[in-house]
Amino acid sequence: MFFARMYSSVKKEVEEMVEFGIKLSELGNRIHDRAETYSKGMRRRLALARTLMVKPRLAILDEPTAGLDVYASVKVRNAIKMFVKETGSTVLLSSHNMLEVEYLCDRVAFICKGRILDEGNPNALKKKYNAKNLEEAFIRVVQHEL
Amino acid sequence: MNFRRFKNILWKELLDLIRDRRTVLATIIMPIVFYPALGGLIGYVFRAQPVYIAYIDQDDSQYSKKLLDILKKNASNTGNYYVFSNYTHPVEALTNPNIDIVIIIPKGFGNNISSSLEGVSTVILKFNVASTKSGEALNFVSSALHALSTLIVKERVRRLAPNIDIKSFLNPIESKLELVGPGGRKARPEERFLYLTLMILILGLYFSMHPAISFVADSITGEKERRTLEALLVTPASRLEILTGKLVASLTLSGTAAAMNTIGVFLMYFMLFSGLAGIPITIAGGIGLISIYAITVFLTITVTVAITLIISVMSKSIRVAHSNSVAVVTALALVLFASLYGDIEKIASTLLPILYLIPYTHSVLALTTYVKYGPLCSVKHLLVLISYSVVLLILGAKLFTGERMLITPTRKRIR
Repeated sequence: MFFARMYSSVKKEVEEMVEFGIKLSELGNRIHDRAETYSKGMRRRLALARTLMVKPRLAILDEPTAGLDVYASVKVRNAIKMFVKETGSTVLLSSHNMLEVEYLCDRVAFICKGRILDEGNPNALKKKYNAKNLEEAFIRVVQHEL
Repeated sequence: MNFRRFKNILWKELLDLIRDRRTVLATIIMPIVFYPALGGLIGYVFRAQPVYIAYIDQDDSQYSKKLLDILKKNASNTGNYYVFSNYTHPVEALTNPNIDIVIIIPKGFGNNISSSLEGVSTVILKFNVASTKSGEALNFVSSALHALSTLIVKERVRRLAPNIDIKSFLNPIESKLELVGPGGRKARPEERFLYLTLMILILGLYFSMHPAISFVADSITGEKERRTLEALLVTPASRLEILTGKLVASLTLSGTAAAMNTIGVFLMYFMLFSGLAGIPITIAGGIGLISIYAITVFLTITVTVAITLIISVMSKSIRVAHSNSVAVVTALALVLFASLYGDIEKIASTLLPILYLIPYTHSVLALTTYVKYGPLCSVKHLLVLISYSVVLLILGAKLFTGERMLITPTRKRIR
């Protein structure tokens, strides 16, 4: 509610933002609990929902699933998918998890030591490097750089 | 500045404040409960603690017996004083740590007094340096010795000049004590305790600062450490709106702390005197002193908020912010402790300008000058405190940049 009010003074808009945030977070009946009682995964989902509920045209997410367990990671990925599907906004996401990148992204850039080595859509990159998945493609791209 | 966003931030900060039980406890409960309890306990312990005097009579003369009578009579009149005359040897009394003073009447004591009109006798007093009541015991014994000496002098005067008015003969000068306050006005009897009142108030100033340090350190560095400040900085709220919201919440805390501290300190005052004297004593400075104290506490906390803001903005973690703020504030507050032992205004002029640079010096002077010269002089120091607060808050606001808050590294994580 606090963050929604920072973006709008219209009650209806604030309520819509909060509703959308609750939906994105998938916190269910724990939504009214104090954040300090949440697990790490729940806190991450709350932070993500807080960021995305204001429907930014561009959201920059830096390793949104880093350090999370499988269940929490899936929840975060679902939230990102849902956000993009409902708002049509752009998400710029960085991740070391190439399988996650393959699942979430329409366009991918391989970055090594601060340089973009290649970019394109996941299927095109897999095809280009004759890889079964994006992880394999990434390894083939960066192996000469390391 | 957008008022809606400012109000939103202020509301969030106040909510954070209410949820922070430690700060609420330190701000509200502690002054109201612990200060009076402390005052009452000190007063009670001081009053209830008996004074033990050992009397060893090696002379057994009429004068040594008379001195013992005076001591016992005074002890029964005053209460809380106990004279033990059953010790047979000084060592027995001296090895008892509870004895505050040992009086030894040597052989020949009475003989020396009665042998001639100029005869002088000696009483040996063994003063226990480890006891808190030795000073009181010494005063009690000195008073009894003075009473005995007066009796002896009266006897001698009667022998020399039987028809003389002894009282006038012995007291050719009489003193008349009148209590005066600032400006030479006649002071009320309770104003004799003004200095003690000021000591309690100055001590209260120091205790008032700490809740503000915790709150501001958490509000700035705590948010940085929890990584919630980043989210706040990317909202449309300006840096000024964020900082003003946080500072107004801090000042709300200052106001609450000032009110609670004022009530607590004055309750402590009553409890202390109830314990010491058995009756509550009216506050020496009256409502005026209470008001000045409340304003001084508020401004002292505000200066503390400003100092903590600067330190918090530049600190890596809440622990560093808190410990550094406590260290700086305590170092600056040394002037409060020093002022318990003397009047700052009376000290050497070379040191005074340096002390004037310390904001808390003006907290002390706001109180002491009110008592000495009246409200106008006090206002001068309160204005200095306001100026310090404004300058330090502006400096803190300048340092509170989004870049600094985000780039200043937070606590290093253990890998």
